[in-house]
Amino acid sequence: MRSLWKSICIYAFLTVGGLISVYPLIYMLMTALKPMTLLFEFPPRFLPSEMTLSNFRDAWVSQNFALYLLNSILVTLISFVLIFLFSSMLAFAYSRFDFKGKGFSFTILMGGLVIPSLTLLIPQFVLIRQLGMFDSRWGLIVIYTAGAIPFTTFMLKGFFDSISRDIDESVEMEGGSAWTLFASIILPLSKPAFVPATIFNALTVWEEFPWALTIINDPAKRTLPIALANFQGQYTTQWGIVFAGSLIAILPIILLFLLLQRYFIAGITAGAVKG
Amino acid sequence: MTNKWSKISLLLLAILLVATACGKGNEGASDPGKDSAEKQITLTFWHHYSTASPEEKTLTGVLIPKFEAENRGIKVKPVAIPWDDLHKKLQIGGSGGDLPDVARLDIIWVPEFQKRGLLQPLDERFSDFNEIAEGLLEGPLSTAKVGEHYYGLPLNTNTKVLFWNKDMLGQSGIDKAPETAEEFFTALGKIKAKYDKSWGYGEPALQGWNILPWIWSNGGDILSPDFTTADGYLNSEATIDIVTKLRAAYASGQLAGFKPGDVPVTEGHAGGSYAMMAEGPWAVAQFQSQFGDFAFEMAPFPEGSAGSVQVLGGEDLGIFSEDKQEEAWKFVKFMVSEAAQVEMGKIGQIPVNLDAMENPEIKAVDYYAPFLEQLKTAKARPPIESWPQIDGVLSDTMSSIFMTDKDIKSELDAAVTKIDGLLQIN
Amino acid sequence: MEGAFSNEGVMIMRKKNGTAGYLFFLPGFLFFSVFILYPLIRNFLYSFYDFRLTDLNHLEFIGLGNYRYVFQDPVFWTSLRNIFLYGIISVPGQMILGFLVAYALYQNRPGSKTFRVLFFLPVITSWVVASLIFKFVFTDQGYLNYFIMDVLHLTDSTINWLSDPGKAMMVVSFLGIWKGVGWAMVIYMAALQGVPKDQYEAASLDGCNAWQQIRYITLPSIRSTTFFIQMMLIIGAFNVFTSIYLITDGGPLHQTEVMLTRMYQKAFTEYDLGYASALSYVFAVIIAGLTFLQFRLNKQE
Repeated sequence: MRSLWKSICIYAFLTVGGLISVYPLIYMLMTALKPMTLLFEFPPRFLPSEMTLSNFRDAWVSQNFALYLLNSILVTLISFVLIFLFSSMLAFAYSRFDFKGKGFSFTILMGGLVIPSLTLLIPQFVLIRQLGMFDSRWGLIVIYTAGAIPFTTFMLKGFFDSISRDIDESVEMEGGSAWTLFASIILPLSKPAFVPATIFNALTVWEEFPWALTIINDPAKRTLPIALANFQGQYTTQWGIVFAGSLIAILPIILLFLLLQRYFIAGITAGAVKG
Repeated sequence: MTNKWSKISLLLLAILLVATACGKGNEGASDPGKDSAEKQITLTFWHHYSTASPEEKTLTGVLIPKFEAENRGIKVKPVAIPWDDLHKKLQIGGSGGDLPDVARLDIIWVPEFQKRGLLQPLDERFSDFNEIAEGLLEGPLSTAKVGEHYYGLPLNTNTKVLFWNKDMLGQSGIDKAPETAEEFFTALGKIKAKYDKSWGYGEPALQGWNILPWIWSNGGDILSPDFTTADGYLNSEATIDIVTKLRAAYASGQLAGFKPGDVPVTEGHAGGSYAMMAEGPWAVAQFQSQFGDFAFEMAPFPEGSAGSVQVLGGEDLGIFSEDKQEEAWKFVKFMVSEAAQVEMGKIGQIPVNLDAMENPEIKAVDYYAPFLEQLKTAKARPPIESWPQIDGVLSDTMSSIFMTDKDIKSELDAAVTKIDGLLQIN
Repeated sequence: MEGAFSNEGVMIMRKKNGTAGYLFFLPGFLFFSVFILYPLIRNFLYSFYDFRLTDLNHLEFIGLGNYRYVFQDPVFWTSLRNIFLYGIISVPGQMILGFLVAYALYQNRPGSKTFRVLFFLPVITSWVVASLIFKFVFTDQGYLNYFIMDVLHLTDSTINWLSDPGKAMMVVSFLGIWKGVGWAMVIYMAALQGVPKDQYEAASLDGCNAWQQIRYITLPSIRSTTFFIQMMLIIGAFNVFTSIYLITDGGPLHQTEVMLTRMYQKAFTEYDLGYASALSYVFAVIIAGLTFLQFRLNKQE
């Protein structure tokens, strides 16, 4: 009897929480399905009286949405390759070596974790101009990559630390180099750790707006967040289209999560977050 | 094992290659003129028509193709940027030379960009400037003039009129729109008595765009006519008088709309939350597309002791280009030509071209009449470089006056000190 | 024993590869230095200049002037207060709810997987979209007031969720909790899986109830995870921007301003980049101090 009550309580708690969690997305979907942008009906009506897909069509065709989607995918993918390359090597260095300046540089790197990217907008703008990366997708990629290095290094170092050092020794015995240890042992063993690192970084890169707006001028190089912002007008905004576009935009991230979620929890082992 | 690593690096390399290839591919695509035709020139045009709006569809679907057909060898690349972001991008770009050839500028930005030396003086550069300018409305044209020269041409103009809900006012015992400020404030009280949960009037913000019409119509002002001081204007009797009345109306729940969480004004007007509001022609477009059943009524803005003085809004076209000036000028002339102005006029952008105003298609837009009447007395915000910052001070001061019970005179005095400080810096 | 052994391993690596460590360290650190550290230093220099967005090529040295303005600016103190308020509400909120959800889900009850996805959805919803929706829900004539006034009839007067600064901060904090519970949940779930099962068995033999189990077994064994989550969430709280920018824009009367909205406003509405740089440094020192404090407290325990 007591355990039945316990179960009921637990499920009630989960259901209420789950509904609150998913409610805004459903609200968005309902608004996107309304024929006219009656966002401010009073009394509010949750289910649209008429449903239409015209907002989704408008969002997709009214500008080069497919191209922006492609740009976003491209920028995100390349950023991830670079993020993982740099961060895993850094994490390996911090986890397995002793070198001069190790502690100091690690403190600085972790300092990068607490700096809001917004505060660096102007100096980064000046720098990117000097490097000739203005109005190019590389200008986005390098900044996104650099911004994600501290957190990713931190996570991966935790995971690498949890891998037994006996392995290091056996590689040594067999005459393998540090690179062999890194590339052939540590990286393959750490595959699960890359899943949470991907998901935690993906959204930050995917929805970044101020920086992309600042350095991209050419519409052909735009990413999705800029395209979405353009649906809002100075005086009036077509909310149905804004929400339809936003739904299309977050779909890839949701898919990515659903695809990877099997490995997700396993990736965040206690080791990965021990700090 | 090492095999695996080489696979990863190969994949990496492949992705990078694809990326660079794509990058180049698109660069090529965006500038097709490079190898096909020698004389092909691409003009970049920054604007803030929102995507999927009728204006944007007309620009990219009708006007630009027409211009390109008429001017072989010139391509126009339109770039949509949201209004306030456009301002920021032009400011940042101005320091590094990353500017468009032509841009659609809110009329209040022109002095600022002129001061920074970014805009071309059109009357000095182009011999046919006067000829073109003569065909345009004088008020909007004046917004492009800074000092002795013209740094743009007007593209569209607007102002606000009083929208009123006939049914709500009728139920409150008022059979016509209030004509004077006095009638307006009386009406607010009557509406509140009848509709406890609604407001007589909605004002979406407390910036110059919103507050100045009240001050001007009451004979007050924000700056001296030569724009050197706010002292004796923003803190004058006339200003204090109208601000006092507005605050009293706000305090008794007759006026709202600018606080976070308030019902959005245009939607709220259609929905019966606000019996009256002052808005521009875009509100008409919104009512027609979203609130088909709502019978909106328009009237002149309530008259004060100095008349019915609304604020002048609109956009100018400015040329930033150094090296494609002739082509840019051609595009600007095209955009202010009768044909282009009629196209935009049909979808709610009030034309500035005199011939377009007389065009039957524009005459047929019935809701323009009240706006055209109001435009006759509309006044521009001070054409000075520091206006955006002054506007910030004004908005902060008004918020503080409305939402606290601080002394109005001393709040306005404090604002005068701040504004005079801003005027001195520049 | 194991510790001693692994240390030896490092010793061997270090001896044989004196420079290899640098080869792994340098590429990433250089990249970070160029694109983050260097702009950070530039920003520090800017904070001593009168530097305006209207002319990025003009700098005028004014010493500590910007820092003086920061401390004299009443809005700075309001924003500091709001950040702490936001942190005090949203950090424990995310941690407690995240832990409870994780605790309810980690034993793989039927339906766990679905709930896990539901709770994680807010984490992968964009801040912009989430903020817009919260704004619509909490607006004076939004769903929530409709529900409270016209469905439940709890009160007759409109609740001004967004124009009352205190309530507006609650709404924004609630958004922070809504968005962050899933994140805390997955990390707690991973940690819970690492707690040895036999400890629970021993405890239930001793007659411990569920609460005692949590209190004496679960929480102590996941302490380092709790510390990690707490630290990351506090950093996240200091970075709150989009939600406030879109929901109240710091208003009314700058009463809901936080550090980043203030910085953004100074930089891009008032064009005062020097002030914004100084503000971001004051801000960085505060976060760094707090982080340091947390580490100290964590060690003492």
